[in-house]
Amino acid sequence: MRSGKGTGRRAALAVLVIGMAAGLAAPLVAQGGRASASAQTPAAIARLFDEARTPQELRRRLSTAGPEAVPILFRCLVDDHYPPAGGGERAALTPEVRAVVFDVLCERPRRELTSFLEELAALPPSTSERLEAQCVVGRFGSGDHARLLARLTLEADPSAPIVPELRAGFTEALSAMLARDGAAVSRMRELVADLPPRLSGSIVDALATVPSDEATRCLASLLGRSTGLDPLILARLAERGRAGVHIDENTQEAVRRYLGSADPAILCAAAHTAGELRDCEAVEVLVQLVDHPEERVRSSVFAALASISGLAYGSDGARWTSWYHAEMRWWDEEADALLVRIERGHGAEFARAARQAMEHRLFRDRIAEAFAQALRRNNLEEVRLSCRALGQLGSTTAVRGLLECMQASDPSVREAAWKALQSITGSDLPPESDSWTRLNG
Amino acid sequence: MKMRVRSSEERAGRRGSALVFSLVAVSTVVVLAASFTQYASIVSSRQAQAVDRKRAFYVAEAGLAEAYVGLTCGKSGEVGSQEAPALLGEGVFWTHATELSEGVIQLECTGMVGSGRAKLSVVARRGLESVFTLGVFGNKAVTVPAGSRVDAYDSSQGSYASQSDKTGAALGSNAGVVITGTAALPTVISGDVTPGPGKTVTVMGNVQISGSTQPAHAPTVLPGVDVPAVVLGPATVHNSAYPLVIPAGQCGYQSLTIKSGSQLLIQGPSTVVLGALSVESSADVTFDTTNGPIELFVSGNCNLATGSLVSTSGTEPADVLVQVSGTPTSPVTLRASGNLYGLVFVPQAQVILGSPLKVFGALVADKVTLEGAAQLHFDKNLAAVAAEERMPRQLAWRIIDMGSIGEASSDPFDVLGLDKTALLPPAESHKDQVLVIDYYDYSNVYHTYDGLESQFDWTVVKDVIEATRDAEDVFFPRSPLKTGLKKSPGVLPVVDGPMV
Amino acid sequence: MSQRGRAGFTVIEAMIALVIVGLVLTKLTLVVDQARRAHEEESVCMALDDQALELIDRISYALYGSDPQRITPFMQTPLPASEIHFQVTLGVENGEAVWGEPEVIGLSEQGDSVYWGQNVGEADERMVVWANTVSELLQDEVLNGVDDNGNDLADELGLSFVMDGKSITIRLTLERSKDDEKTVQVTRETTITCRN
Repeated sequence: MRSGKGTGRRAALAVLVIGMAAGLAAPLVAQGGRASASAQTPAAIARLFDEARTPQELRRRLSTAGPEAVPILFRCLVDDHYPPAGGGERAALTPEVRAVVFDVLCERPRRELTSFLEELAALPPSTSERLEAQCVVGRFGSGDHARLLARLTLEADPSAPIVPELRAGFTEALSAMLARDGAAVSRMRELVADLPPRLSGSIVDALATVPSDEATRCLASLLGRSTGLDPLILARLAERGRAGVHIDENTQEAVRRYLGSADPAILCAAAHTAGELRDCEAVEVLVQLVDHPEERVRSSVFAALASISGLAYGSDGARWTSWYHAEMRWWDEEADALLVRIERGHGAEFARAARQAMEHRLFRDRIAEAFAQALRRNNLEEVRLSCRALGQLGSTTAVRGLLECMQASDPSVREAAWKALQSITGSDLPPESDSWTRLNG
Repeated sequence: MKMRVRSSEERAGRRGSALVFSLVAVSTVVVLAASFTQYASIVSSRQAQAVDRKRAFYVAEAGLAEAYVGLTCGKSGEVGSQEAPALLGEGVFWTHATELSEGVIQLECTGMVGSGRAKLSVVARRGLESVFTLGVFGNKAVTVPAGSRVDAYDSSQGSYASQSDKTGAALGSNAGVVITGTAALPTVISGDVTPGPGKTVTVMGNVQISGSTQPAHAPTVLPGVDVPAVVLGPATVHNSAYPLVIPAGQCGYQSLTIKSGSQLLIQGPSTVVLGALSVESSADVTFDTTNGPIELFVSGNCNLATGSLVSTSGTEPADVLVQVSGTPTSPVTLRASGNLYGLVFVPQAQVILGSPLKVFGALVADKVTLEGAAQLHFDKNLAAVAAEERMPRQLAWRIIDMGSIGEASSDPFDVLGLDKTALLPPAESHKDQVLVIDYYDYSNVYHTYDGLESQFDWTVVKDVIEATRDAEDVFFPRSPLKTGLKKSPGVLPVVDGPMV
Repeated sequence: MSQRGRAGFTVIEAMIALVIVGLVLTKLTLVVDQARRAHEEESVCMALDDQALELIDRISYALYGSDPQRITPFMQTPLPASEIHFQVTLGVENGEAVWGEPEVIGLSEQGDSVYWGQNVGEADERMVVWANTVSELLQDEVLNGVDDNGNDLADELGLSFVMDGKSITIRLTLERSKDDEKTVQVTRETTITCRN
């Protein structure tokens, strides 16, 4: 009996020891396995290509390859051919196979890719290698890889111009990285400062593709760093205004300062931007420019005034001036009372005030603020009227208030708010509020 | 039974005043009714005059529309006259056309219905014929070397890559066309090749042409370039790390050079006029048409060097128009790389298109020389764009006069002394013009006619090859959209005499 | 002489006759009065309708030749305007349209008349009153900030303009009242399209 018990204990102990040994050995075995895989030769990797019958199978096989596969896969992409398999003609990659190779390469661990690309950047690489490397960084990279991307784009010789394709590749890759890593947007200011000026334009273009408020602020903060870059930044800010993105007062103020420039080209760009941003505060300066000696400045100013006011006085400087003075007189003498009636009035008084307010688009932002307060009323009729008035005013100031109204319990209020948002932003998204919230950051 | 006879005294005692009262009452009501009726008839008459005025207004508008539509197909704009107006319903109208300036025509239409009379005016700019339906056209020569590809796509249906049907290209010249290909570098033309009248297509080596190579029916005259009057800034050499941004609006430079490594960004909508343009190697030019189209005029030399890059933000060829006017001292060289979605028009100079630059749109020049394995993708949708541009554009509309011609019962036929039965409908009241037309009838026989349009029977026409009215080309808005040059039938036509 | 030769009416007969005559006369008077009132009312209605039609036509013809981009203020549903500033084209010069002097059609300050003006506020100002029987508010509308008459407008005045693209909808209510009698109102509405 006792020997039976002892035998059982010994057996259990043996099982335990074997199990522990197996558990400890498994990682070693796996590592060993990987080590044996990582020691794959180019020929072995080439065989993976040959043996795969479908792109899916190729993907599976290549995914098991080790770090040595990275340069081989990269070389395939650069040469656009299958990897060499002991001499002989290499076939060109089909689009499907190329896509698989690219995906597999970009799915490698980041440190592998980063170290490979760092080595590549130090070589220096050829233009085609740089182009391919840019694509790879753009696919996997984050804000931390922006400088690597820059090194891959720039030639060692600082006086050498950037090949246009490389510049375009840099912009595209950086845009993809910023879209993936929103936190990197704020670091673009340092990047512009640290990198050569030749890449500044591309960084601005990449920032312009990010529709967030942070990107807008970053663009605005770059104004003034270099006079050569300012026209491009102004142009990109104008695009944002045209797209209905809300531009804060600081950005508008930054643009407004350029309306005092002596350079006609800068003046044109600033006027155009102020018009696209619908900056009512800029009208005072714009009106002073209606008699500018340069014809192109005048036409930019008139276009801006038309865009801001919604009026079509063409190139009649006197008419614009008298309109502005009439508006300012109204603002000084009657606006306060009107705004009080909008904010506090009810019923007929509110409706009359709303009607009068529609006639003065120069102060749309301030009037929109007054209507935005009315959005919180209990009277649904007044809320609906406010939504419709805000849609007609077209001020982005009220976007947030309207977004809240799109979640109101009353369907007619939700619809009125949605239509107002459509009118303000020019977007035809469906009324589900999630999409609107994303649109407005 | 005894009948009692009343005495005269008794009859006199029975007289009453009820009849008087009734008469007074009835008279009062009759007077009231009469005055009301008269008032109503006055009001009704006035309202009838107002209605007649409105009807006259609409008849005059219809007359303007009739003349306006006539302008689209080469008619003069004159419809009827005061002596022989057009009959429209119960009214008449006549339209008088006046050429105010080159291409600007004023139409004045007078309409009369009942007592109403209205005179309206519209000023329109005649439509322009687009040369870009010619596709790839070299007035004096077209040279296509080995490896080239000229095909077509429709930009309204999506991208070039997404379309499987790439036929429909148009390659033509007023001279002969020389196309070369080799076994290693075959040349593919997916469409018609049309040399000038009496000329031929010379094919050497491995060349595939999917369409016809018949010569053109008539030579094509290229218009000049109308350069807008823009104040030109000083000659500018841009050699900076930062891009040169030309914002929306009008801008001009006496010359513009983009040095190696520098960038030029042109933002639409804009009109840019340059005395000369030079883009060096490693420079790049971007046409940003996000907000509108771009028109670039170059009045001198235009050179995009090898190694430079051209790109457009959009993929609509009609949004970028590059025109080179004058006679540059050297050919216009487009050796940049990239994709240019645009229209290139160089009527007085040679264009050399290098292989790295892929053009999506159209290219019309005095001479076209493709280098290496050049690629040109003609946009078939340009026919639709051209049809729109061919329509006249209204500049101003106004009411000249609104009134009445007389009493409510007035009849314009009486006032004008016209016989209603002798008047013609609007479509037949257009001014007669000299029509010269080459056409196929329903038996596919080639005909030609030269005479008054009133003596021509349009019902025999199946397909028009070419037509002019008073020596102006005729555009048929409803005909199938055509691109390329009109082919010669290859036989002599049947000469028609008066048919009607 | 016999008693029969001296026959006359008794008091009762006379009184009955008087009563009957009185009734007949009263009825007659009522009928005539009603006829007269109806005549007046219809006349007033017809006159107002005629005036409204003429005024609407006049405003329409004035606005046909305008350009929507040159029209102010901005009047869209549900906030109409009771005044419209516009310009009409005079022709073409050098390929560009030539525009006339600024014009305005609107309600007077008192709100009871429609006027047309040109160059208002300038030295060469011209003004003509086109109608002076305009109602304060459009028919069935009450000053309460709500759309009472179901036309999607709030508190629209007797003359109102609403723009939608190139179309302008003109609404007009004329009224006339006599002493303490019933007020007669006539409303006309039309939509025109700017031709420029």
